[in-house]
Amino acid sequence: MSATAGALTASDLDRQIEQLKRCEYLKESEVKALCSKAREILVDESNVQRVDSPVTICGDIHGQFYDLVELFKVGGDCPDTNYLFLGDFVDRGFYSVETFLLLLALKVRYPDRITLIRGNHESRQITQVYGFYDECLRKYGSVNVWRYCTEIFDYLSLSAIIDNKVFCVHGGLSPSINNLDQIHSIDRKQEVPHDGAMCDLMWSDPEDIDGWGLSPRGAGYLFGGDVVDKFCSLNGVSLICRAHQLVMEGYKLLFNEKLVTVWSAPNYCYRCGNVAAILELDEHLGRSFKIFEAAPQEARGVPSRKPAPDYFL
Amino acid sequence: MSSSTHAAPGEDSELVKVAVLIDELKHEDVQLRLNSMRQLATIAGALGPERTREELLPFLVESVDDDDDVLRAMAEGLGESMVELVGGPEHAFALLAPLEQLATVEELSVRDRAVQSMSEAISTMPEDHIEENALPLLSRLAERDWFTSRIAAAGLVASIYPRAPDGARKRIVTLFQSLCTDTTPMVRRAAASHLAGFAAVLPADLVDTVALPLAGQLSTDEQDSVRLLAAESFAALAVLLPAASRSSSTLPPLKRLAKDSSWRVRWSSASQALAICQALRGQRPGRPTDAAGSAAPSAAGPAGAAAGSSATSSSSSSSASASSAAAAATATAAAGGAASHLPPLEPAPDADTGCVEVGMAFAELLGDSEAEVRAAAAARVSQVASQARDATVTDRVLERCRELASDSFEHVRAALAGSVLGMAGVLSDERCEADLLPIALELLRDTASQVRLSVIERLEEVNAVAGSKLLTETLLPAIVDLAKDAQWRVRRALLAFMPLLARQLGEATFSSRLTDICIEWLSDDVASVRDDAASNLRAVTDVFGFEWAGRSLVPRLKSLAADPSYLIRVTAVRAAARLGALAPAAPAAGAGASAASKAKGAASAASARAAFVPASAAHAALVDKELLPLVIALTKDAVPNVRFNVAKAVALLAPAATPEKRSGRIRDALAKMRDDKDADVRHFSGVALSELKD
Repeated sequence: MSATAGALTASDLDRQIEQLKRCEYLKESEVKALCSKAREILVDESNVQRVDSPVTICGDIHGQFYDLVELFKVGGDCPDTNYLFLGDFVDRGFYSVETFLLLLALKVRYPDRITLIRGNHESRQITQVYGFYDECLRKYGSVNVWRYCTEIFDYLSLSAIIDNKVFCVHGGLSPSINNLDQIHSIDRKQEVPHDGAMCDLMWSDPEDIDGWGLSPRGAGYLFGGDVVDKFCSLNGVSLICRAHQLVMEGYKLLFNEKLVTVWSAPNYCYRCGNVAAILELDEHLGRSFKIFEAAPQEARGVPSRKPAPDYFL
Repeated sequence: MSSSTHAAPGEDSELVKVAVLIDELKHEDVQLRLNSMRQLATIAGALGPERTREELLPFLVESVDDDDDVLRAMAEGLGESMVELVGGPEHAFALLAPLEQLATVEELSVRDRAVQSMSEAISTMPEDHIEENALPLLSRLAERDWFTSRIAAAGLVASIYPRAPDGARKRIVTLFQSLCTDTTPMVRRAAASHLAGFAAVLPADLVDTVALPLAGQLSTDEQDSVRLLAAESFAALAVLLPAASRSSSTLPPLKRLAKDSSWRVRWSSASQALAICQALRGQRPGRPTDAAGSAAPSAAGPAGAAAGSSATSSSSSSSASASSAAAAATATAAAGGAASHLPPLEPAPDADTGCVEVGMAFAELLGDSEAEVRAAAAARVSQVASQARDATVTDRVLERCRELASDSFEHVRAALAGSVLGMAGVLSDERCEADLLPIALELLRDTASQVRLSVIERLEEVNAVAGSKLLTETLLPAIVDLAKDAQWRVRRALLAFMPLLARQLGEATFSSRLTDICIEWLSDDVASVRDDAASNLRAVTDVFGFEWAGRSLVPRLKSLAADPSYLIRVTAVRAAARLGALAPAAPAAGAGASAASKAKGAASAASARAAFVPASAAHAALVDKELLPLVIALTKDAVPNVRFNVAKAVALLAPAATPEKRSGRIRDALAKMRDDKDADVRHFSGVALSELKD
C-alpha cells in the first residue's frame, strides 16, 4: 500500500516478509520501494562491516529458496537469531528473486540482526549468464526488477569483521590487501571489476600452496596457509570465514583451523548430493557447525515442470 | 489485424496498452508474445466481439506455429472466459476454429488445454450449434490421419454427447468405439482414459452394453499402458452400474488385472481394489478422504442426473454438462468436487462376499515381486481391510504386513508405516497387542527416518484402540530412543505426540520417563525443534496443571535461562511466555487445534482479549511468582535478541498476571527497555507497552 506512497512501514515489511516466506514474490513497485529503502541502509555500512557476536554465518544460497527456509528452521528465524550471509544469494537455483528479496526485506526490517555481504554472483555480468536475469524477466516480464536488484548489489558490503576477531568475506584474500584499512579505501559502489582488490575478495580460493597462485577461475587468486597466517597476525584476526566453494560436508576447516569454508546450499543445483552447514558463533566466539540437508520434497512448492509426454509413460 | 481500436476518448492510456499488446502478439521475442497471449481477454475486450471474431480469431488460427508456452497460453485464453468476449453463447462456435488447430499440435499439454477449452465453449453453445459445429468438428478430428487429432476427439465425446440430438448420439458412440480399436496405441490410450468420463454421460443401459464391453476389451489390450488406464475405469464404471450387477461386472476383470504380466497394471489394480470395494459398499470412490488413491478415476460426473434425461437445455442440465466436460478433460481432478453433490449410492447386495474376493486378490499384491506394486498396496492395507471386514482377509493382510515390515525397499516400508496402524480399527485389543504392535515397533526402529516418521505421525491411531498399559510397556522404550533421533523431523514429530502420551501415561509415568526429554528438547540443536519444545511445555501443562508445571518445569527453565548460549536463553524465555499465556477461548481456537498452536495463536491475537480463558488462581500465581521474575531477570541480558524476546514474553504474560503486577513490575521493566541502546529492543518493548494500555 504505502509502497506507492514512498514510506515503507514495519507492518508493510512484516507483510512482505510473510509473503516472501511463502515463496511469493513482490510486485515490481514493492521491489522498487524495498530496494530504495535498502540502499539508504546499505550506503552507511562499511566495506568491512562491524558485526557483534553472537551471530550465525551462512555461505552460498544460490536461489535455493526452500533450502533457505530449511536453513532458518535449523538456525532459527530472523530476528531471534542474528545472521551474516556471505553472498551468492542468486543464480543457479529456481528462486533467486524470492531468495534475495526475502533476505533484503529482512535486512530492511531488522538492519542490526542480519548482515549481507557481496558475492561474485551479485554482479550484472554473472547474473546474465547464470539465471537471475532470466528469472526476473520470466517472473516480471521486464528487466526492471533485475535492474533494481543489481543496483543494490553495488551497495552491499565487501566483508565483515565479528568482534574484531573473525574476518568474513565471500571468496578470500587479495595480494593487494595486507590490512583491513586497505579494504576500507575501496570505492565499492560499482560492478564487480575483473581484477584488483575488490574482485579478489569475491573470487579467491584457499589452496595448499605457499604464497599466491593463479586461480583456475580466471579471476582472483589462490592463497596458501602462510598468507593466511600473515594476514591473521597482522590484523589481529583469529579466523577467516568464507564461502564460494562447494564443500560436500557443508564446511571445511583449513590451515590449523584459521580458515573455514561454509557452504549453505544443500544438494547444490538440485543434484550435487552435498549437505549444507551454517556456523553458529556464540557470545564468546565459540564455534558450532550445524549441518542440514535439502528441504524434503513435501516442504517444497509444486514444481512448475511440464508433465512428461504421454509416450514416455 | 491492425492495432487501432474503437475506444471511448479518455481511455487513451488503456488504448495504448492494448495496442502494444496486439503488436507484441507478433513480436519476435517469445517472452513478449507469451505475455500478450496471456492477456487475450484484455485484447478481446478492447476490440469488441465483432472484431475479436473477424480479426483476432482468424489471426490466432494463423499463429499456431509458435512456441509451446505461447500456444498453451492461447488455448487457456480461448476457454470459458472468452465466450462472452466473442459475443456470448451464440458465437461460442467461433472459438472452435483456433482450438481445433491447437488440439492437434505435438505438445501434449497444449492439446489437453485446447480440448478443455473446447469443452468449455461447447457447454455454452445453443442446441442447434452443437449439430452444426461441434458434431462436424468431432467427426473431422476422429477421421484425420495424424493421431493427435484422434486423441483430441476422444477427449471431446463426453462433453458433446449429452448436448447432441438423439439422432446423432448413436454416431458418437460408434465413433468412440472405433477410437477404442484405433491402430495407434496412443489413441487407444486416450480412449481408455476418457472412457469413464464418457460412461458418466451415457444412459444406464449403454453403460452396461457399450462402456463395460469397451473397458473389458481395452483391459486386454496388447499395450500395458492401455490396460493400465482401462483398469482405472472399472471402479468408475462400477458406481454407474446397478447394485445387483456391480460385483459380477467388475470383479472378474479386477482379479485378472491384479495378475497382469505388467507390473504397472498390477500397481494400478492395487488402488482399484480399494475403489471397487468402496463402490460395492455404496461409497463413491475417489473422495478426498482417499488421500492415497490419487490415481483413482471416478470421473463419475453428474451421472444420474444427466444420463437419463434427454438434452433439453434447462439451466441445471447446462451446468451439469459443464461439469461433466471438466470431468472428461481432467478425469481425476474433477472427481472430488463432482462427487459431493451426487445422490447416495446403493450398496451391492453381495458387497460382503465381493469385498472378500477383492481383499484376497489385494493381499496377493502385498507379496508382489515388484516393489512398486507392494508399496502401492501397502499404502492401502487398512482401508482395504476395513472394507473387507472379514477375518480371513484381515489375517492374510496382517501376515503380509509382517513380511513387509522388513521389506528390503525403504519406500515399501514407508508406505506400510503410513497405513498399517489404521488396522487397529479392525482388530480386537488382543490382536492389536499380539499382531499389530510388533509391526509398529519394528517400523519405529527402522533404519530409514522416513519410516520412523510415518509411524510416529500415526501412533494416535493405535492409541485410540490399545490401552495405556500396552503403550507404556511396548512403545515407550522405542519412543524414548527416538527422542534422540538423528533426524530432527523425527524428533519434532515425536514432540507433537507428547500431550497425548501425557494423557495416556498419567503424571507419575510421564514425569519419570518423559519430562526430562521434554526439557532436553528445549536445548536441541535445531531451532524449530526448540520452538516446538517451547510450545509443548504448555500443552503438557494443560494435562497436568499449573502446580505440576511449577514443580517439574520451572526449576529446569530457570537453569536454561542462564544457559551460555543466547539461543537457549531465548528458547527459555519463549517457553516461559507460552507456558503462562492465557489460553484462547475454545471456539476461537478452532476445534481440534493442538495446544501448541493455541499458544502460538495467543501471541498473534493478543489484542482479542475477550476471546481468552481467564487465568485460574494457580495459573496467575505461577505467572506472578515464577514466570514473570524468570523472564524479567533477563531484561539486562547482554544479547539484544534475548532482551527483545523478554519484551515479547512480558506482553504475552501480562494478561495472565494480577493487575498489581501489570501496573508495577511489568510496566517498569518495559519502560526501561524502551530506552535500550538496541533499536529492535526499543521497538518490541514499545509494542508490548502499547498492548499493556488496554
